[in-house]
Amino acid sequence: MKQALMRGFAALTASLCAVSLVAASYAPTRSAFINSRLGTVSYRLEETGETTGDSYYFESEFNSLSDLLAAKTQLAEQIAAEGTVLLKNNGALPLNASSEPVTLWGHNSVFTARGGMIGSTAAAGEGQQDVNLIDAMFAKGFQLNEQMIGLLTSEEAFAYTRQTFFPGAGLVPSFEATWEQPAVYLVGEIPASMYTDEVLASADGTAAVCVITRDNSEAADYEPTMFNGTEGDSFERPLALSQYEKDMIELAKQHSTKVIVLINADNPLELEELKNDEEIDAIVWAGLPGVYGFLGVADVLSGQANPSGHLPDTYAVNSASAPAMQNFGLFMYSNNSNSGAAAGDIAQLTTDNKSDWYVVETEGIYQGYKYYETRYEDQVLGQGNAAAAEGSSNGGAWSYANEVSYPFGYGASYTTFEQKLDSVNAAVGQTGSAQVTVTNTGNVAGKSVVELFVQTPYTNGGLEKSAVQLVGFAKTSELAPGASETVTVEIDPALFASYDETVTKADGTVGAWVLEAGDYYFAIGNGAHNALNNILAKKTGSTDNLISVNADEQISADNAIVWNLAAPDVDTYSVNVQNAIQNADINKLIPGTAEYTTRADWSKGWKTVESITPTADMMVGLTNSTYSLSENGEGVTWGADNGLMLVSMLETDENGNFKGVKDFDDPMWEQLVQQITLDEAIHFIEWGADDIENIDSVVLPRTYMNDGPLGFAYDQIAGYGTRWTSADQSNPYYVDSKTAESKYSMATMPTEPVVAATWNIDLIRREAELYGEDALYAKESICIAPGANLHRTPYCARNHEYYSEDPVLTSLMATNFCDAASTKGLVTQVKHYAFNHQELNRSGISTFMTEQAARENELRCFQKVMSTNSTGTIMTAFNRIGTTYVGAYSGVLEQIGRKEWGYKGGYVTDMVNGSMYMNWLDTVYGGGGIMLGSAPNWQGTKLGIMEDSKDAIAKDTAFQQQMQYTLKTWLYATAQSNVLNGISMTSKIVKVTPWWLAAIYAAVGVTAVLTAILLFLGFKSGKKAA
Amino acid sequence: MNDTKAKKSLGFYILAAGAVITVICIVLYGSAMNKANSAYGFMVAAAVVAIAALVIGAVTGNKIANWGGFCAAVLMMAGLAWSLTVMVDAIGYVISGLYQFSLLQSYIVFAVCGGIAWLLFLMSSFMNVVQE
Repeated sequence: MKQALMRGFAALTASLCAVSLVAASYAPTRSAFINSRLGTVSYRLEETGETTGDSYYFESEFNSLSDLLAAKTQLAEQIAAEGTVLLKNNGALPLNASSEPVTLWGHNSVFTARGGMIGSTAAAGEGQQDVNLIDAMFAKGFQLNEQMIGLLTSEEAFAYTRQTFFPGAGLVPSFEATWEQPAVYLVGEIPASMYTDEVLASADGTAAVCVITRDNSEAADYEPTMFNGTEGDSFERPLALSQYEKDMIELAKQHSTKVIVLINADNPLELEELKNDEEIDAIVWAGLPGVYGFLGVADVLSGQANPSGHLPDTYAVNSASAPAMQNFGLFMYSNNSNSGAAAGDIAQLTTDNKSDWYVVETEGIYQGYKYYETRYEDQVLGQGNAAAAEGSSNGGAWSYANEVSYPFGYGASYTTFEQKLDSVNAAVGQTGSAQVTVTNTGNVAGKSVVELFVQTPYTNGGLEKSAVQLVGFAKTSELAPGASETVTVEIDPALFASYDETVTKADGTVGAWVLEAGDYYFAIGNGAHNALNNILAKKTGSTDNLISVNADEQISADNAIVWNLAAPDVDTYSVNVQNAIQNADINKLIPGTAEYTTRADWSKGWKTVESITPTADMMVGLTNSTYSLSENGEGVTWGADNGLMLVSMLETDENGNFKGVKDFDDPMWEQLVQQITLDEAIHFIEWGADDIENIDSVVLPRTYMNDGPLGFAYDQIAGYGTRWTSADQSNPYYVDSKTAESKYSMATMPTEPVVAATWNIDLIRREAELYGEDALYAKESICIAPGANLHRTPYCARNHEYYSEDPVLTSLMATNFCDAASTKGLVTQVKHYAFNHQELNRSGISTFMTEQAARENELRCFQKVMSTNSTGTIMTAFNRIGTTYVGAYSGVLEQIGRKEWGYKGGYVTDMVNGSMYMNWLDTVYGGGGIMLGSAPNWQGTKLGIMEDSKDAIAKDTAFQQQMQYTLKTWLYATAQSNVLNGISMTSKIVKVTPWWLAAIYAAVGVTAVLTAILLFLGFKSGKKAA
Repeated sequence: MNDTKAKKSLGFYILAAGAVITVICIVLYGSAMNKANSAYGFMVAAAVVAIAALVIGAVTGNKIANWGGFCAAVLMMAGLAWSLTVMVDAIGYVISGLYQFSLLQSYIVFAVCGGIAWLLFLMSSFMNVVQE
C-alpha cells in the first residue's frame, strides 16, 4: 500500500519534472518575448577594453522623447493637411471656424477609421493624446453642434457601430483559408429615422460635414457582391454609398447652409452622384489619416491649410468597372482540396499544400488609370474598338465621361495655379529633367504639385503601351498670390521603358527593356487625364473631341513637349536582364486559358478565368516539391576563427558616426560569415520571427523588428519602454518603464495613400527620419514598412498599406522613405515582394500575369528601392508567382532582384503559418532568405524543422552556400542599423540566465530529486513488504 | 491455462481506461492545427507502456505491471507538454485576434482528452494493477 502511495506521488512529481524539462528546452527559444514582458535579459554586452568614442554610431537629433513626440504629432498633422484632397468646391470651403457653426453628420463622424486593422492599426497608447475628428475640430476652434454629437454617441446609435471582428472593423479579417467569397461589410450608418426633430432643428443654419467611412484591414478584402451588414441598410457595392448614407446626406441638405462631404476611406469610393449633385457644395478626401491626422484635415476645412493633395488612385464611376475586377476574388483549381476528387490524372490538392486558389491578372499592363486613360485616347482617336460596350458601366458604348469621376493625380485648391512646361531634356541612359514654372494666380497662398507624364510611341498590334504614365513629380514651396517658382522634375527613361518578352538580345538571352523609336510626348497636368488631354491637343492640334470630367481642367497643347527618339534602344536598360517569370503567364502553361486586355481591341480581356485544372508541371509548385537536399560539393567553412566582429565592418567619420559599411564584395564579409557555426546559421534562418536572432560568434545582438507603415505597431510593441530592460540604463535613449511615455504608441502616422497624396518627397523623408528616431528611443532596428504593392483594384482592403495604383509614385515614395530612414540607423523592410494584390486566400494563392505587366507595374514599385539598396531588407509575400511560392521563386528573388537590380540586402518571408508551402528548404534554396516564424511551425510536417535536418544540410554544399549568402545579406543589412550602437571592437556578448529560466531549472531539479526520493522510498517499502 | 481474472484490480481497469483514451488522443491529435513529432512519440510510448503493463499484469501477474501507470503518466504529460510548444503561436494569435478560436478547437478537445488520460494514469499509479 505504501509502495503504491509513493509510486503515485512519484508519478505526480515526475510528470511535473517532464513539464519542467520541456519548458527548460522550449522557453529559451522564446526568451526575447518573455524577457520583454518581464523586463529581464538573456545576454548583456560587456566592454573588455578601452574604447574610442562613445560607440554610438547613430544619434538622436532630439534632446528628449517628449520633443520627438511633439515633432511626430506636428508632422502627422502636416502630412494629413497636405494629403487631404479637395475634389469639389463651389466656394463653400473654407469654413470660418469661429463664426460658422458646423454639424457633423453620419454615425461614422464619431467612429472614423484612422488606420487599418492588425499591422497598421492607428493607436494611441495609455495616457497618450488621442485625436479623433470631433477632438480635432474642437481643437481647431470649430463650434460643433453638440446635440448632434449627443445623438451620434447615444447608446441607440452605438448599436449600429461598425464592429464585426474588432471594434471599428466593418470587414471580417480571416487568417484561415476560405472557399467562399467574403459576404458582408458593415457600413455602420444609422437610419434617418433616428434623427429626431429636435436634433434636426439644431442643425438648421449650420454647415454640414457629412462623413463617409470605409475601413481597411489586413487579411480582408472588399467584394462587389457583398451585402451591408447594417440592419435595414443596403448598397449596390460596398464602395458605393449605402442607402442610409444617402438618406443622411439628404437630411443634411435640408437642414444646412452648405453641405460638405468628407471621405474617410483609402479605397476609392463611387462619388459620381455626389459630384453631380448641385446641392453638395464640396467633397474632401481625407483617407485614413492616423491618430493626429484629423488636426490637419480640420486645418483644411478651416482654411488654415490650403489643400494641395492629389489623388493616388483613379476614382471610377463604378468601382468594379476596370478589367482587373474581372479576375479578383475567389477562383479555385478544379482539383482543389475541397473539390472531393482528383482531376483526371492530376491528384487532388491538399489543405497542407495551401494551393487551391489562383487569380489571373488578365488586364495585363492596364491597371488603374493606365486602363481608363489609354482607352480614352483610343476613344478620342477612334481606334482599338474603344467604344465597344464591353467594360461600359451603363451597358452602352464606352465613354470616358461615363466611367471616371476623378482621375488619378487630380486635386483642387483654394487658389488657382498656372503651370507651364518650359522645357524637357531627355536622353537614353541619362537622367534628364523637365522645367516647369508654377504661378499662383489666385488669392490664397498655397503649394502646387507638378506631375510629369509621358506617352511612348504605340503601334497598333505591337507592344502594349499605356497612353500616359507618370514619370516624376515635384511640389512647390508655399507660393504667395502672384508668386512663381520653377521646379525641376527628373526624367529617368528606365521608368517608361517597355518590357518586351520576345526580343532576343546580342548575348542570346531573351527579354529586354525597350525604348521604341518615335515621338515621346511629355506633358504636365492636374492628374493623368489632364496630362493626356494636353498630349492629345498637341497630337491632334485640336481640343474639340476631348472630354473633361472636372470643371477646372485647363487643356493646353503648350504643356506637352515632344521628344523624338530616332532609333530604338534595347540595350541601355537591359544589362543582365532576361525573362525570369515566364511561367507566371498561364497561357504559357495552358495555352489559351486567359484572354488579356489589349489596345488592339478593347472588347477583349473581359473574361473571368474559371476552374483551371493544373498540369503535371504546375503541380510541382502547387505541392511544394521544388527543391530537395542532396549530397554535393566539398562543403563550406563554418565556425572559423577569423577574429572579426560585425562592428569590424563599420566605417565611421571623424566623430565616430556611421559613414557606411565595407563594400558588399569585400572578402571580409565572407570571412565574417565563416565565423558563424552551422548551428547558429540554422537557428538564425529558421527563427527569424519578430526578433532577428543574435549571432554571438560575430557579436550581432538580438535585433528587434516590428510592423509597420504607421509606425511601430502598438499591438506588437506596446510603447517606447517595451524593449528596454534595467541593463540598458546607460543607453542615452533608454526609456524607463515607469514613465508615462514608455506606454505611448508609435503607430500614429497617416496611412500610405494619404502620404502618397501629399506628393511631397520632403514630407515622406521627414516621416522616415522620425520613424528612425522612434527606433532609437524604442530599441528597435528594423521597421516592416513601407508596403510597396500596387493598388491593382480598389477592392483590396490592404490598400491602406500601399501607396498608389501607380508604380512610379509608389517607387519614389518607398525609395525616399527607406533612404531617409537609413540615415537614422533604421533598416526598413519593404513588403510584400511581390504581387500581393488581394488578401483573400493570400496564403498560397497562385498569381498569374504576363511578364511585361509584372515588370512594368508591380515590380517597378520595388525596383528603385532595391536597386539603390535604400532598403536593407525585403519581406516576401504569401502568394505564389505562377504556381511557385514567391519566397522561393528565384526568378524574382535572384534573377530580377539581385542580378538585374543589384539588391544586396536580406529577404525574409511573411509570417510562416505552418503550411508546407512556406518551408525553409524551398525558401533558402530559392534565395528567399530567413523565415519570419518559429521553428516549431514545421514540427509535425513532412519536412520537419531545419535543425532536425542538420546532418543532411551539412552534406549539401549548394544549400550551405545559399545559407551563407543569406547570412551575408542580413549581416550587411544589420550592420547599417542602430543595433550596433554601443558596441565597439572590444565588446563581447555575455550570456545571462534570467531569473525565470533559473526558476525553470530549479523546478527541474526539485521535481527530479523528489521523484528520486519517492521512488527510493517506494522500492524500499516494496522490499519490506516482500 | 492461467486464471488471470482474480489478479485484476481497480487499478487495472483505470489503467485500461487511460490506455484507451490515450489511443483516442493519438487519433484526435491528427486534427490539431500544429503537431509535434515528439508529442506523438511520447503519447504512443504512453499507450504502449500502458497496454504492455495490462498484458503483463493480466497474463503473468508480474508486479512490474504496477509501474505501468507511473510510466504512462510521465510519458503522457511529456507528450502534452510538447504538443503545447507548437501551439503557443496559434494561441497567441487567437488571443490577439489574428486567428479565430475555431482553429484551436481540435487541439483543445485533444488536450482535454489527454489531460483525462494523464489523470487516469496518475490514479492507477496510486493503485496496483496486479493484486498483491
